[in-house]
Amino acid sequence: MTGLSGSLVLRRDSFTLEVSLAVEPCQTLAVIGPNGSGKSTLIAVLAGLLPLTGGSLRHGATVLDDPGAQVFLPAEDRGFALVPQDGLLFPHLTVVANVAFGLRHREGHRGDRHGGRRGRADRERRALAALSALDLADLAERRPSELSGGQAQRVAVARALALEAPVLLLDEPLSNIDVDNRQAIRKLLRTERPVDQIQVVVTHGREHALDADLVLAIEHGRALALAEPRALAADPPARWVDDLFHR
Amino acid sequence: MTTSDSERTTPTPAIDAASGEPRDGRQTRPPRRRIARPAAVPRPVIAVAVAGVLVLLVPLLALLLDAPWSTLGSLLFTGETLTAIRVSLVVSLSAVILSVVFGVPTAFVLARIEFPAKPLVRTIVTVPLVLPPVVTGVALLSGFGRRGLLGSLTGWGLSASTTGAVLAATLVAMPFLVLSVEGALRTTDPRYEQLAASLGARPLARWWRVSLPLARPSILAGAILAWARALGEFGATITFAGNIEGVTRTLPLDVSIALESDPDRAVALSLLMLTVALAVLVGLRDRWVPRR
Repeated sequence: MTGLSGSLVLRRDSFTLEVSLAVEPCQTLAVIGPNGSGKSTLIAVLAGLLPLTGGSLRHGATVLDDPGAQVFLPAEDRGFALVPQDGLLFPHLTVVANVAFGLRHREGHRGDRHGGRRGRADRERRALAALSALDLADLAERRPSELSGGQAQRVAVARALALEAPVLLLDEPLSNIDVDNRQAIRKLLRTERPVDQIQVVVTHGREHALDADLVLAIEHGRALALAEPRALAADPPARWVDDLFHR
Repeated sequence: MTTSDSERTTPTPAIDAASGEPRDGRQTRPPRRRIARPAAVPRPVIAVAVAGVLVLLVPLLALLLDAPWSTLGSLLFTGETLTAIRVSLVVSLSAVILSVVFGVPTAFVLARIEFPAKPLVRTIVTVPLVLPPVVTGVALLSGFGRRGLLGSLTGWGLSASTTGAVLAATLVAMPFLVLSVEGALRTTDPRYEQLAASLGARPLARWWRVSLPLARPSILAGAILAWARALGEFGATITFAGNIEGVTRTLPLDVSIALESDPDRAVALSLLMLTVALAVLVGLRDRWVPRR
């Protein structure tokens, strides 16, 4: 089984993140916490954008990060997919090129790069297929500046899903968008998820937390609880957890 | 500056344009009175500003009045002038290409990497901005001249050649490009590159496909500035590369020759370069004067 697990320690200036987690394939882990509690830092650590200062992180048998053993696999070598806050589509690329960007570099990653024009046409076709599957084909040739916030976020999710990565990390994918797109993205994440994909999603939303198999509640960089959402809702470890589930 | 301006803009900005005081958050309250605000700039200060602008404007207007409009075409389409235009284009465009090729990586290093010698590198890159061009020319002679360092090592130098003129123009033009790009890089969102990494792009691919395209507007603006500076370059060129027709005699050098032999041609050439300069300003208008 290729689960994602570790006890993570990151000390930076005055902030310390100290969290243990274990997620099995096919599971979704929701990360909840007040602003500044370290949710985005946790995503950055899992993605390989911030190295740990202590503890370790592994994916299946692969050690991703272990400062004690001087092991650090950078983001480009982890083969994960990331939906950062605000989606962050590349502004200089069309929607379809945004999706193809990940496919292109992932090919290189797996070492089966197709040379030249054929590879490119093939990637565009696959990117377009991925967009079509998510009902976004009519946006393919647009620039990110021509999309609404919700559309851009859907494309960002499509770009990450198209990679069929074993681990998908999402940093507040539902914030700042309208209800319809919120529902659409929640549905995409359930129905279009590749078999066995682990999803780690930072969220403020009750529904999204309830969708998850496990919820990690963190505050001031420390885990308050790691539990099934209903168990957490029944016995909230903090006032804000209670508010999130019962407001 | 005018009352109508400040009235038009008051509902939107967070800081009141006229008084400089933060507006409170209660947007529901309508503006109560429409009294004329006191002028933000006292009249004597405005008067000095007007005088300053006139000092800048008068010579340009005089140039237009002085221009030999009826014979302008025949003055500009002489073999001498066309040769100078050709040399100018070759030299300035080569200088811009070299500035981009070497300046963009330099800007990235200065904007993104911390290292002990950084202040020194920044000084080296920007010193041609403040150095009198003739000093740059003398320095070039010492470095790459026939009797300079390069000459003593190899027996040949770059002075008195088109390559030398290109080198002189590059040296004075590159700082504009480096500063323009470096400034823009400091404000770009580093998360785009992080995202590219998470999508599997390796460092060189990230730079080529993400960092560079995102910096494109600043590279373009910097290249235009650098080109304008290279086109006008005089002191370093004449000192290092000399004033050889068809080889190093660019438009500004040609003007200095023409002033002695044919002042009308000098004015005509100046008019040509003024036009180019204005075109550059129009090209960069959106960058320097953001649209309201």
